[in-house]
Amino acid sequence: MQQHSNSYTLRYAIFFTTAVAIVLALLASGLRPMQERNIAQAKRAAILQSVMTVDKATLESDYNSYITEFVYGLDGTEKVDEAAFDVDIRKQVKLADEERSFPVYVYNRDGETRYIIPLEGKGLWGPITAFVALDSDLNTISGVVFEHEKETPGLGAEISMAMFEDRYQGKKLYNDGGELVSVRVLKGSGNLIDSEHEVDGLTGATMTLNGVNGMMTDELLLYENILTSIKS
Amino acid sequence: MSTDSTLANPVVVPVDVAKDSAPKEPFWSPKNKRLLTDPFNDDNPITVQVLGVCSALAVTTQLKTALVMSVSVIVVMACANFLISLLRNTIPSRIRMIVQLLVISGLVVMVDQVLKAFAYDVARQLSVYIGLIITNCIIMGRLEAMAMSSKPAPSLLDGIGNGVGYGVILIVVAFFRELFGAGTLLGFQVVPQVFYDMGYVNNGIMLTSAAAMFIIAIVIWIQRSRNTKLVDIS
Repeated sequence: MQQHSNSYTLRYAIFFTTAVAIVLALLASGLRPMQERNIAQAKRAAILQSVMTVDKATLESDYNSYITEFVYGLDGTEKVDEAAFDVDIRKQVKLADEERSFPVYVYNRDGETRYIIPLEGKGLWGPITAFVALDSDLNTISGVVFEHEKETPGLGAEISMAMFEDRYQGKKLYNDGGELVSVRVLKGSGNLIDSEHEVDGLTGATMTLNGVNGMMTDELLLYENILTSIKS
Repeated sequence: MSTDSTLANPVVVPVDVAKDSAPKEPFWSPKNKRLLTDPFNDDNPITVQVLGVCSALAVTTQLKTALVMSVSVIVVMACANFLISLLRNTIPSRIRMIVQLLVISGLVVMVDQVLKAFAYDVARQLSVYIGLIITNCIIMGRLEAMAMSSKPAPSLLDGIGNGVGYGVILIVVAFFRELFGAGTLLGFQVVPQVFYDMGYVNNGIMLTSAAAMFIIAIVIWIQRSRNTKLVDIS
């Protein structure tokens, strides 16, 4: 192998990294519109999945006909000038609670009403999201969808399995005293559950479940005024 | 000054056309065919070269992830081998590993971006594994051993051959792990319910990485008992 001069090596390195960077940048920006559409479709699918079985072919028309979007402030007043679907919860979490916007999706089909609350939290390796669907009494959970980006397969990633999500069905947000306490997931699996505010956990997924609890309690409790104002 | 401008633009210099004066070899010569077929048996990247074992443990709990991983590795390895082989005479030897890594990671990012645009569900399932391709030592190993010293056509065949050789082992391991660990294949239940009613239980060990080690070891055992020239006589 021939020996190259220092200046050749340096120029080669600069040229090569620039070339690769340009190719990747062009590819990424060229594909972005398609990727963003996919992300929006996945979000619509997750919202609908918390209340019904999703058919990919009719996803968009189902969403438009059954879901109405609302945005509220912390005190429960509606913010009419914002679009719920475009609210980026990941950015909202960083704001002061009073300045935040809280989206609520209302599902209406054949006289059946569900309220879907989107939540965002931190898993072990990346962000996790939840869509919590409430019955029309705004107390009973009718379904939950969890999503994650990079939790460990077989451990933390199990939160997005129906087997885990179904454990939340029928649990209550308010205790007998009418206080908003939400639902906690316990550490480890095989716990005996006799409370309406607890679900069994997953072995080996403690860090991810801490994130789930963070969303399901701290974040969900911020919806207290909003739930009260929807009720009245 | 003129030499300077050619040096600054090394990608387009067709060095080996001028250099290799040997008569042109047909693409499907017996030697080239061996490049494609050897990695199945005599020169398998996992069982003989013992490369890429870590990713063989990680992605083989399910047949589906093993299949997608195999296809991605074949594509990345073939393209990387071909590109590096084209550039081999221009790459400064002191930074050759970094250049190789840049080509591999560039290709992997491209695969990821394209999957996100056209197969979003698959991309989301595989997000963790796609990054793993970059660290797959088979790719780097073949670039060093083959692409840096051979012409583009044989390098391409070598890349495809080694990718397939890797994929075959992955699929064999994933087949047994999914079958005995979960009773399914590609997500479909294959162990009938009657077996479970009679007291059959899925083998939890098959879902741990250790099981992949056992299966790879058994594959190596069977392979060497049939192909005695692989047995280490030293």
